[in-house]
Amino acid sequence: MIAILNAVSLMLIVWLVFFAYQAYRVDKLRQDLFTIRDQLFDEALNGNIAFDDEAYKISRQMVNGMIRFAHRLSIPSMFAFAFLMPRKGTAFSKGSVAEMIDGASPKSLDLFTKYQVQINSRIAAHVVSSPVFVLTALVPVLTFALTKLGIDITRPILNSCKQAFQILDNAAYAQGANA
Amino acid sequence: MSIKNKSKEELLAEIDFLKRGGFAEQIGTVLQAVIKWSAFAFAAWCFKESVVAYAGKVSEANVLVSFLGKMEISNAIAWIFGAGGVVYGYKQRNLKGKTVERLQTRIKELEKRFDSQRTSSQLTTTGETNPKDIQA
Repeated sequence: MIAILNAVSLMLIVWLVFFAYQAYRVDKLRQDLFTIRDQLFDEALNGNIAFDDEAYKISRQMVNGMIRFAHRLSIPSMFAFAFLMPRKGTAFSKGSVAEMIDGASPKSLDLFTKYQVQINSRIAAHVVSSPVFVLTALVPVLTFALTKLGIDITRPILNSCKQAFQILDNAAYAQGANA
Repeated sequence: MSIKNKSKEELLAEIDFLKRGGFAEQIGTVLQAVIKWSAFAFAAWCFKESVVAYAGKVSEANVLVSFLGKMEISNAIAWIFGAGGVVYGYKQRNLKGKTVERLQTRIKELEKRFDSQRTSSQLTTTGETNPKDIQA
């Protein structure tokens, strides 16, 4: 009977992690993107950029796209996009965001970059905090990081002990000769 | 840029871009669904095997059933589910508060433009009871 109850609890945990928490993460991402969009609007309201400036319009459209498709942003999607999408220099890149923003004034460009960084950082945090990523990629990444940290920490300790060991070796050698 | 202004090469590149984008999106969606539903299918399979064993039949997964039948495992699962539920509830409440704060701040500002005498319910910015109104 305990096994049956545990199996039910296991199903509930899966629902909590992969369904309920997943929906929460999307809501949280959208909330943060709404905040970024509001900040952008305030910048225009305060006269830092015109509402009809290309940089403003592109930034706003980008945030809107991210908000709309937030439910599709995941590690598998990011990998699929990275492998399948064409690189720079294709004919289509002429209509890309980079191309459109190219002629913008330095002030507009600064503002665009600021918001682009904010949006991308938030997306990266969303993708990395996904349960799928945590379960599949985090363990090997953490193992590697901890191993490297362990080596970095122990190296100076071993180096500082080297002299002590040399003295010990010499003493042992001398003792060995007397034996 | 309208379609008329684009060269044939650009239009073909755009079609290729959109096709790849759609394909990548579908792959991502399928992979995500596979991972999610595999986990759920595994839990459902555990349930099925436990019921089979409870009915007195020899299960193909006796090791798994005896593992799930241990009291320590039961406690661990209960703790994980309980703690996970509490964290989830707390985070949801937090998010709701942030949403209220974000929307209310702007509504307040906009309404004040039309009504400078605008009164307030005196709730906190996150929509909670004002600490001053809580009876000791």
